[in-house]
Amino acid sequence: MQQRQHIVQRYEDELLRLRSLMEQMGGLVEHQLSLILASLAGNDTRTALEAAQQDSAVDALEHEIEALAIRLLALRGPMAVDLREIIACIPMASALERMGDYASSIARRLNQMDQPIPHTARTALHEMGRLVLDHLRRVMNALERKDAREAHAIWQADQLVDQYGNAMTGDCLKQMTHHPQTIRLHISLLFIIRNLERIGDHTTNMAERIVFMVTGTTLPSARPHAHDDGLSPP
Amino acid sequence: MFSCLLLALTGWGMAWRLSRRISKPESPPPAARTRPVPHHPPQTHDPHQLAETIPGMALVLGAMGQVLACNRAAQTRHGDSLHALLRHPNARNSLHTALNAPLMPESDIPTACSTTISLDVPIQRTIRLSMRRLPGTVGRDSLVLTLLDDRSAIQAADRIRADFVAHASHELRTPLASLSGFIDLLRDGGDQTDPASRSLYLDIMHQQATRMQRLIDRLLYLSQLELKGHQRPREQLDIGELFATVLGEVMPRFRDSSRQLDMTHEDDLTVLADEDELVQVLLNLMENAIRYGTQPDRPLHVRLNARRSGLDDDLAAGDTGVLLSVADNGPGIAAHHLPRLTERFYRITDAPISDNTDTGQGTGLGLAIVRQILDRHGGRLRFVSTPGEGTTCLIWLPAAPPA
Repeated sequence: MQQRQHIVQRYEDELLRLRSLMEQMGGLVEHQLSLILASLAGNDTRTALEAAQQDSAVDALEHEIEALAIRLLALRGPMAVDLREIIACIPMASALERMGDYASSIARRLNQMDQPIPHTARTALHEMGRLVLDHLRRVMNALERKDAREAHAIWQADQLVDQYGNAMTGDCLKQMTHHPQTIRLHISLLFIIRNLERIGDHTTNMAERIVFMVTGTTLPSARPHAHDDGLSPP
Repeated sequence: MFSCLLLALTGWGMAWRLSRRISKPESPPPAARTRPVPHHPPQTHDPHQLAETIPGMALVLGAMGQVLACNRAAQTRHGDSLHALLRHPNARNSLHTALNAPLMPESDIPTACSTTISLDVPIQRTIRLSMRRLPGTVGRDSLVLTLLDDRSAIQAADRIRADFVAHASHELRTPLASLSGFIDLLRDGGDQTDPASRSLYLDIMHQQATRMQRLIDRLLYLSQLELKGHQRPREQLDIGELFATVLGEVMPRFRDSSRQLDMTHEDDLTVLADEDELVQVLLNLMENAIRYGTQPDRPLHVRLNARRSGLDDDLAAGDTGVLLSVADNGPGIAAHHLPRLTERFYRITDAPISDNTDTGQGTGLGLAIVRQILDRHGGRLRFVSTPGEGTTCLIWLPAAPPA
C-alpha cells in the first residue's frame, strides 16, 4: 500500500516537474523576445546579444523535457489526459526551441546592422514583436490553465501577425525600390519580419497541441491565413 | 509515566501528520522516508491562510514553482500576469536560490532573496519579487513565501521621459526646420520682402507653430496615459451617458448638411472605465472619420453603435463584454495599412487627405492614444475596411462585473 502511494507520488512529482520545465522554457523564450523589444526600443544592440546568449539554455531545456517525457511514458504508463499532455510536451518543447532559435537569429541580426534602423521601421518592428510576444504569453497561460478555448482564440489570432508582416514587407519593398542604397538594411529587416512571423506560426503549433491535449481532438490543418483575404477579420 | 510519554508521542505524531495534510491538501500522506527532523518541530503552514494573512500581494509556491496559494490582493492586481512573472528566468533563479538558501546566523529562518522583473505585455509592468522558504519545510515539501511589489510607476516614469524626448526630438524637427527657414527668409529679405509674400510666410509659420503645439499637447497626453497604464479603471460607466457626452462634443461638426451622424445603442450597457478617456477614444475616431472619410461627391455618414458582444463576434473571443463601433462611408483604407494604424506617427502617405480647414493635418498620434487607452481598459481594437465603401473601427470592452 505504502509502496503504491510512493509510486503515485513519484509519478505526480515527475509530471509536476515536466510542467515546471515547460513553464521555464516558455519563460526563457518570452525573455528573449522581451530583450529584443528592449533593444528595439532603446536602439541598444548589447541587449540583443544577451537574447542570443540564451539559446543554449533553451536547447538544453528541450532535451531535458524530451528525456523526462520519454521516461514518464516508458515507466509510468500514463493514460487519457495525462498521456496526451506528456505526448504534447514533446512537440511543444520543439516549437519553443524553434522560437528560441528565431529569436536568437533576430538578436544577432540586430547586433550586426551596419546602418541604423529608421525610426518608423523600429517602431513597427517593436509593435509586431509585442504582438508576437503577447500571443506567446497567452499560449503559455493557456497551457498552464489547460484552456482549449483560449488556445483556439490564439490559433485564429495569429493572422494578425501575418497581416502585420505583410504590411511591413510591402513597406520594405517600396523603400528598396525608391532608395536602392538602403537595400542591405531592408533585406535584414525582411529577415527579421520573417522570423517574427515564424515565431507566430510556432505559437499556433503550440495552440493546436493544447487543444489536442485538453479535448483529444485536432484542429483543421488549414489555419486562417492573412493572405487569403486581407480584409475579413479572423 | 510510560503511558504519559506514549500519549505525548502519539499526540505529537498526529499533530505532525495533520500539519502535513494541511500544508499539502491534494497529496496523499508522505511516504516513510520523510520524518520530522529533531530540534525542528514541524509547523503548521496552511498556504491559503498564510497568503491571505499578509497585508500586500503574496503567494505561496511549492518546490517546483507551482502556485499553492495566491491572496486576493495579488489575484486582483496581477492575476493575468502571475504566471508570466513566475516563469520569467529571474523568478526561476530566485526560487532556486530561496529553496537552497542557508539559515540566517543564529536562527532557523532561511535567508530571503529578491529580483526585479519587467513584463512588456499585455501592458508594461515592473514587479519586484521577494522570496523566502518557510522555516521547517525542506526538499520536495518546501514552501516558498513570495511577496510582490509593483514598481511599474517608478519604472514607467523613466521610460516615458525617454520616449517623450525621442519622439519629440524626431517629430518636432520637420515643423521646426520649416519655421526657421521662413524666419531666415524674412530676416534676409529685411524690408525688401513684399507684403503679400510676408503675410504668406507668416501664415505658414503660424500653421507650423500650431502644429508643434498640437504635437506637444498630444505627446504629453499620451505620456500621462502611459503613466497610469498599469492601473485598470474601476468606475462604472453607462454607455448611454458616454454617448450623450460625445454627442454634445461633436454636434457642432455635424450641423453641415454634408455630414450625418447616427448613434444607436442597446440599453443598460455598463463597462468599468474612465469616462474622459473613453470620450477621447470616440472623439479621436470620429475626427478621423471626418478627416479621412469626407469625399467631395457624397455626404459623409458616420454611425456610432454599442451592443453586447455575442458568441459570433470574433473580437470578443467568447468573453462577455460590450462592442462599440464607429463606421464611416469614406474611401476606405487599403488592407496593408490596417495592422499598422495605431503605431505612433504612422501616416498613410498614399491617401488623399480631404482639405478641411477645421481639421488640418493629423499628428499621427490620435490612434496611438486610442490604443493606449484601450490597453489600460483591457479592451481590444480592430479596423475593418472595404475600399470604396468605408471603414469601421470595432472596439471590445470587457463587461463590468455585476455590482
